[in-house]
Amino acid sequence: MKYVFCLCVIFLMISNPCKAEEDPFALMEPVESKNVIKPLTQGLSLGGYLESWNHLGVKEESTWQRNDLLLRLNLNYQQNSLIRGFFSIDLLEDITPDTEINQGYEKEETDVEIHEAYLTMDTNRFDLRIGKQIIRWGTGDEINPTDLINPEDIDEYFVLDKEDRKIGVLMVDTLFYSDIASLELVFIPRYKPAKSPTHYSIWQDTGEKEFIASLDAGEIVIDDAKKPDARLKNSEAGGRIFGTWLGADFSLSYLYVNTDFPVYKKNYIDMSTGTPIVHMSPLYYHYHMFGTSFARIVEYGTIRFEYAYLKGKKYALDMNAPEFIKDRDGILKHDEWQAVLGIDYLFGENLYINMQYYRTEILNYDQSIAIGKIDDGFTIEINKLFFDDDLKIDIEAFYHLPGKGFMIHPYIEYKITEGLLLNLGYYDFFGKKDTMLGQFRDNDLIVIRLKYSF
Amino acid sequence: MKKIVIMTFCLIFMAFNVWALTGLDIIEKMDSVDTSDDSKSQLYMKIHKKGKIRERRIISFIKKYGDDEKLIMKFLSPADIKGTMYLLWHYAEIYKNADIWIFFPESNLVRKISAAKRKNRFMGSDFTHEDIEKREVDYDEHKFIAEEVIDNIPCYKVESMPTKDGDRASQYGRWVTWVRKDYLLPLKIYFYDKNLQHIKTLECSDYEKVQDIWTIKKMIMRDIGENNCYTELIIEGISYNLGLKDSLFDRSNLKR
Repeated sequence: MKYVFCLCVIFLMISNPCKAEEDPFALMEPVESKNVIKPLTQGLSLGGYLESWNHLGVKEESTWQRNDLLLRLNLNYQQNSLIRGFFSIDLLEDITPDTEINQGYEKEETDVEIHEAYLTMDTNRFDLRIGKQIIRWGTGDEINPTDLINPEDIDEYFVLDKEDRKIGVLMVDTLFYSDIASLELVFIPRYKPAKSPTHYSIWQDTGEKEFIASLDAGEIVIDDAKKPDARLKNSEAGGRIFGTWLGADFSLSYLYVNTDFPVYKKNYIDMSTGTPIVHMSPLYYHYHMFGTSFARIVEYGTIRFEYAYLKGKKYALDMNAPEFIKDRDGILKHDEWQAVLGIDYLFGENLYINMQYYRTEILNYDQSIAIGKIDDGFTIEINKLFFDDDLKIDIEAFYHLPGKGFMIHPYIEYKITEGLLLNLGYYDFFGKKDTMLGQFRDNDLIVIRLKYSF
Repeated sequence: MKKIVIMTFCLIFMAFNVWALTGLDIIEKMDSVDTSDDSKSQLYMKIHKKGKIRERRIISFIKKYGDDEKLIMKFLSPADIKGTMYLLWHYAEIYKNADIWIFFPESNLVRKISAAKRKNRFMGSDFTHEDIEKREVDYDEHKFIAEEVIDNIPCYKVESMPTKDGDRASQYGRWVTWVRKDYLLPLKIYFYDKNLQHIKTLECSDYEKVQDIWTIKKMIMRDIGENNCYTELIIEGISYNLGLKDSLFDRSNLKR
């Protein structure tokens, strides 16, 4: 697969000789204004934002507070008309106060992280981008079955947008233009898994909690918790062709990727003590994704569709199922499909409504698999702008069909001054305690975000 | 005697030629002033709202494909929207939806979006989306009203009304344009709502010949209903006929 990728890139680069061009978006006239970001030196400019996040648990039985401060610095560098660089660094500080409601909370250490750092070579026929980067594929809103390149940090899955959850990975990304369609090829030499919620996180789901409880009770022993190493055999690659025909955006995509989360395979069951002790190892594996996406304008709305066929997915068997004892490694291999269909529409003056239905289905399902055959649900977002677009009132909701649970997130966003944005929101979870959303019903919270862009 | 007859005939012919100018002729002449195939401009928008000033700076490219047109914009300021890009493929056919994409640099995300309602404000300014869109001459009926002199500038006064009903055709019920006789460009436009109430005024100034094309370099849109509220749109730089490549207006060009 990797050889095919390399050959494709070399062939396309040879057939599209590079020719440097001036940056078309360069300023035509020098400007004198306090609101224009001045270059630090020739070819170098700095921007970014400072954002504070205040989370407040509001349930009587679960009051807590978490405050974080994020400084993101974005450095753009233009060496010449051919080479550009982008460097983005995050400084994250946990500023949770030591008050009574935060007793027992262990503050996170100050974290400095490179968010993205890459060099881009732009030519008239193709772009080459190398470095740590985040890319987005797909037409769905927040739910993107084809967008499997960057892993996510799901520690606060429900209260973070996708852009805040994505983790940058080292990647070679090439884009070839033609009048008919564009071709993008990606190669990720070093595999990076997703980040699960930490063991004390309130966002850890029931399955993980039970698994950790079994580990603590000695019912499960992890023999080898090694993650995939940086060898080339663990690399990922793929591509997509995309374009606009007859007023619709289409794409066809393929990825050969590693799973973001491991499945646990059974090594053996130790019966020597009389109580069964299951010895397991995490299994990271490759699978294939064949995807397509579509988006088309209809009057004041847009219809979006995205579909992915995942070939070679692996599922752990339910440890309580009789097949788990009999099966060699407690793992079954099946294909799966995921799809999302949505429409958004603009009514009257600035009233925006976005609705989506998503569905995931395991093919040739076996009843002994630990998760359900179908997972589906609806998302809806309604917002309206006021005061010359300075104020946005928004409601997001998510209804999970198998668990019959839902989450609602109303918020207001107000532009206090140019560059200073206040976001005040509330998350409310409903449903039975053993369902996907109901398990977080004690986590209802208020979120206050203040963001200053510079 | 013969000469007098011929001269009189010529004068009458010339006079008739002028009088024969219809509203449609004037608007067509105004529409054909910009003979360029493409252009690049650096725009500076200054929004005045009750004593506060908000600034936006934009680099914009336009390329014509017959009567169709493609436009790409990149916002340079303010900081919270810096790097945001807007790509529009406009079709001359009145009821054909434009294709529009927005690129959000913070999330590296390209989204296909529906056209905003034409009466919605553009970037919080006093211009609406309809005001900045290309408008085909045959969308509307044009009627020559009179010749007037405004601030010592001789003008044709033309009334325009959309030929079709509904917001899709236009947010306005009527508009009156004073077209400068010398440059065949608007000097000012009064916009009226569907109830024929005067709601906005566009004032044009700073005319300059750029590469043989007369160009308006400053426009002010005033909201009649609100005191001290107006938006200045200043063209800081403009170049025509650059031979812009089609790939500049491709969706894959929406990137950091």
